[in-house]
Amino acid sequence: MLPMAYLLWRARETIGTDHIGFLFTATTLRVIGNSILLTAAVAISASIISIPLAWLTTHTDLPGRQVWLVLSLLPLAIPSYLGAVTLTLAFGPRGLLQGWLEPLGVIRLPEIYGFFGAWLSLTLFTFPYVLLPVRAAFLNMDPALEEMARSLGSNRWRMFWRITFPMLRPSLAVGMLLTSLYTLSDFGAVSVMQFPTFTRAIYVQYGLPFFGRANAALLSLVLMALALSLFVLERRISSRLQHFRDISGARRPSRKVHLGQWKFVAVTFCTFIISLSVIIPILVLISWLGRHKPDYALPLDLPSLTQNTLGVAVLTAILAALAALPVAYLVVRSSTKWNRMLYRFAFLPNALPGIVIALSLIFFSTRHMISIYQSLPLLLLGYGIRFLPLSLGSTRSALASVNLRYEEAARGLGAEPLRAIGRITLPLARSGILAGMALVFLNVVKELPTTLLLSPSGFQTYATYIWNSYDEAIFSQIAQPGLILITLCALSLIPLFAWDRFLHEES
Amino acid sequence: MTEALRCEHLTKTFATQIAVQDLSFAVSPGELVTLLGPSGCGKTTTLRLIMGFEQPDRGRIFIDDVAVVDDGMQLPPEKRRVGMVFQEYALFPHLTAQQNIAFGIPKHENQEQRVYELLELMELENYTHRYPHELSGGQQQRVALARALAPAPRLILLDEPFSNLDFALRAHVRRDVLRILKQANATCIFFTHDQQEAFSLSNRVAVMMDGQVSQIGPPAEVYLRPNSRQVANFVTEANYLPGEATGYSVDCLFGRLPLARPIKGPVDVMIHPEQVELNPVIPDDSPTLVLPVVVSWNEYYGHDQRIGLRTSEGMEIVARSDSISTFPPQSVWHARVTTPVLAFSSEDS
Repeated sequence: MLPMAYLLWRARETIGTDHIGFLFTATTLRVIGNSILLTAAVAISASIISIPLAWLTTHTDLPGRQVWLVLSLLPLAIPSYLGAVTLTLAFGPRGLLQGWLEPLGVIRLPEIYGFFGAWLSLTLFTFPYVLLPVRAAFLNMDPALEEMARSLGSNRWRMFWRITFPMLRPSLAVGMLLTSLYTLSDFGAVSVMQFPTFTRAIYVQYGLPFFGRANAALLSLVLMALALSLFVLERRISSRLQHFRDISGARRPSRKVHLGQWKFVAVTFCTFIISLSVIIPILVLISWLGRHKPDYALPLDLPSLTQNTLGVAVLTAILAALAALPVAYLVVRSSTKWNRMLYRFAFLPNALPGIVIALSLIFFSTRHMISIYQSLPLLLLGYGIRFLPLSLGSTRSALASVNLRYEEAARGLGAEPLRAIGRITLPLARSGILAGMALVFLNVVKELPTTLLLSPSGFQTYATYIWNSYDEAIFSQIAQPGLILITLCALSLIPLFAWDRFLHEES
Repeated sequence: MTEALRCEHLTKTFATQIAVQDLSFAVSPGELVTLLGPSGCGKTTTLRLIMGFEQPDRGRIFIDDVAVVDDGMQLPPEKRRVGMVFQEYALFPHLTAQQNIAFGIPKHENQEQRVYELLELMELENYTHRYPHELSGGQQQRVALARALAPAPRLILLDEPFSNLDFALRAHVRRDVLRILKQANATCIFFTHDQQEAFSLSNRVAVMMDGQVSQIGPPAEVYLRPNSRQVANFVTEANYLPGEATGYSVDCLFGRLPLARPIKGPVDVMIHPEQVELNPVIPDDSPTLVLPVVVSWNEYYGHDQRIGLRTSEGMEIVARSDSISTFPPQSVWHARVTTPVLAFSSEDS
């Protein structure tokens, strides 16, 4: 709540001056239009990729389903700015592709910068946000319903549109909204692709003298309003989702569709998507590994980068888990109006772009608590506010999955409430809580704008180091930290999937 | 010590629904009592009130003559020393059988030895280090029971303890549980909706209806002399015939029958199926009327059978018989009732 209140207050300063007109200048309006256009395009293209992928990995005899699944989730481990950089290096002017094609006489490729590049990179690195819920919906679907439809005389195609797709729709909507939120608040990829959207405009305004900061606050408010409306929509649909999952009776695994000669097409499709979103970024980074570094390059101090990155990520993960536990417990065990409200409040930052949270914390600290400005605690606070919802969500579902009876049994056996929670509930919810921590860890490691704006001077993480090197166009300096960053993120995905039992669906 | 448990005027309301209303009953030490009632009668709420998981709006609860709920005073569950076996057992899934049983025993109290004794009592010595999911239903049941017995509670509550077991396993487990509870000399309350279970397990049965105890007494008394039509409907499968009662006897289709409980006026006469005696020929010197009846259907259960009969007036009567005789459809029999019957005023129905 603090960031919002503060931004409102700051933006008020502009009211009464001509400055409110800033919002309606042609440039600003174009920025708003750009953001909306990009968001819609990414949401649609991510769905077009995700639905077939989800279907292929759940309902067909596609060879290597598990491998494709893991590969198709890996884009989550690639921060959008890093992915965008690798795409420009691969397909941009004087990039790898052009290098290969030059002997063939191709000297100009279609422009990667601008809308196309921003759209491509955001699609490729956010489509798992659609894939996950859609896949879950496919898995949860009762095959009896499809069999019923077939027995009532529907062919496969009619069945898909009349039965399967409608049941998929809420999950698809949730996934699209998640990608939209991500796109709207993304800062890295659009900056790399030089496509002017909200976040970039805010960042630029923030750096300008005079009214720059007020303008940034104003823009932040508009962005926040957009994001919040998407968020509210997402919550609505999510809550409706439950009705589709309440299936009573035993469920059999659905029969796999035999792809037959379509197998080749399916594998080509998967290979194409994975090549663009996972293999090419990693190959590009590897190809730059050994290249010459100019003398003016930033010194690469890997131990201190690792220490900083891991330090803030682990610390934030722990703090977020500690903060989430009591709130989640209260909501799960005594769902009073007040508790639910507290939970929703804590969830709100989910809708706030990182740059907005960071800016509001800067405004606040420079004015009122200069002592914490550019300090580590402020950075942790920024991360904490931004990522608490992630921790809260998984902690809540982890606690909710522990049957209340266990705790009651412990009480009946003479355990005090805290001992019952400590000995029974927490150990049983452990993997879910760990998954929440992994999620926070992953996102802190990837987070660019918050780190960029709130870090103490001289404090570098992998994210900011990569960003600064890119800014100075020293690509060879990106390769090594980039690969380490992706590995770190990929590792933190493991507990997430272990918890969701994504890999065990067939056992 | 006079009573292991006493509930006085317990009332508990949820949002708009009254779950338990002015409920009172008492259990003596060492007794096995069953709280029997249809689903939704307030059994579960009663159990949770006794355990301390819910707080009554009104009323008091005493355990071993000491108040645990009284006038806003509310002892937390862990202080009540009431053991409980959950319907779904609620064995801690991350602990072994041994660790589950040890959970409630304070460390200084010879924990290991006590656990070993219990495992032996349950005949579970070979499953000490198994996790709940590695145990069969019957074994889980016994671990749950051992866990509840471990802290030597003053009272044990068992919630639908056998409903999760296969039919074939049930009788066997029931005997085991009964043996163990007797050996442990525990005071127990079973909560169930299964009449057979209630009658066969307990010293006394308390029939619960609409949040109140309607009748409490030994199984035979509750079955043979239900004190209301409502209780009778729940615990028996009796026939009801219109009749006119004159104090100690009643006139109905089967002639003049002796009454087990005096009543006067127009009544519904309750006749248990097993009271209807079927003869292939007309018996000599019958003290009551003998009716010719025709078999219209037959349900064969193995240990007994139920036979649907039609009188010449077209009235349906159900009889129960041993499983040896055969009752072909449309065959003619001679029916009579000679044992005392119950009657309820027909205005109650």
